Amino acid sequence: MSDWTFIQAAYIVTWTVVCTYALLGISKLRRAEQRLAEIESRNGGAG
Amino acid sequence: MDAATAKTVGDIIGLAGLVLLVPVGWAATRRRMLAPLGVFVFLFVVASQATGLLISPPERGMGDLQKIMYVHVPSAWAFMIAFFIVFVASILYLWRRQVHHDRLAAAAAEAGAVLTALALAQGMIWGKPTWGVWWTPDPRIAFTTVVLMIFAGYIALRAFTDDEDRRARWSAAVGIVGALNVPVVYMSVRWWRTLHQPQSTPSTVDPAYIIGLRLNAFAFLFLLLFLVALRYRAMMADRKADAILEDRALKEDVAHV
Repeated sequence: MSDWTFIQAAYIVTWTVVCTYALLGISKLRRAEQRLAEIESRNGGAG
Repeated sequence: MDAATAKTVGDIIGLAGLVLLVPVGWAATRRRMLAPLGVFVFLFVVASQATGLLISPPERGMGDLQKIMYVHVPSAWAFMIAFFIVFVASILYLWRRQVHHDRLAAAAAEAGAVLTALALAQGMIWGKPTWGVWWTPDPRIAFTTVVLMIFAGYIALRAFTDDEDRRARWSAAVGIVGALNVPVVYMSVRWWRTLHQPQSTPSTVDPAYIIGLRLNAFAFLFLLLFLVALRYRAMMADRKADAILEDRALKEDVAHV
């Protein structure tokens, strides 16, 4: 295997993991904020 | 680019990065700034990676494999900073018992564990063509693995109990112990002279590589701050929602009594 195969592997592994983690983080944040907004609006309606 | 110019550019990048750290750090603490921060981090990372890959010449010993350093070295620096955040936030939690310190430690531990796993994976990919093996029981590698295991345990531990205070106290204890291992990781290449080379510093690195390394060090630092801010905000929003639900359930109980 050539040096560039290893270089490509290192970069592909790195950015696949980082991008996946960042997208999961964005998705979790959106879901958490939506849930909070729903609960707050229900709470306001009930109160 | 001659060595003197490369060194001057490297110094300017170092200074500019430190100056940029102030607005980036500020943006990471503001919810409405998170999206612009994400865009800035993305562009900064792309530019830094491209610069490192394109301008660095093949190294005398490693050849083009040196280019792996632009992801491996910044990942290693960033995980050490992440666990320093865990250390400080955990001590602050045990001292002040404020929930946001616990969530900050948890967010940094998660991002730190991801970066530690990446540093190990990149090291293995670099080690195979350079050392001839994917893995060797070198002290730097062994202690980095120990730190990864501790923080994997930290993340698992947080799922073991629903008692918020107990979870935060246990996590803080594990976080502090785990973070105390990081200086051992850092110093291991000086204490035990084995296969892994000592730390790269501006005095030991050829100026041709300083620009790429320094740019990517800041790129990964900004990336870390963005990732920690994302997870911290999500955890705090979940916590606030749970608190409202608990409060409502208590009021309903009282109303039934």
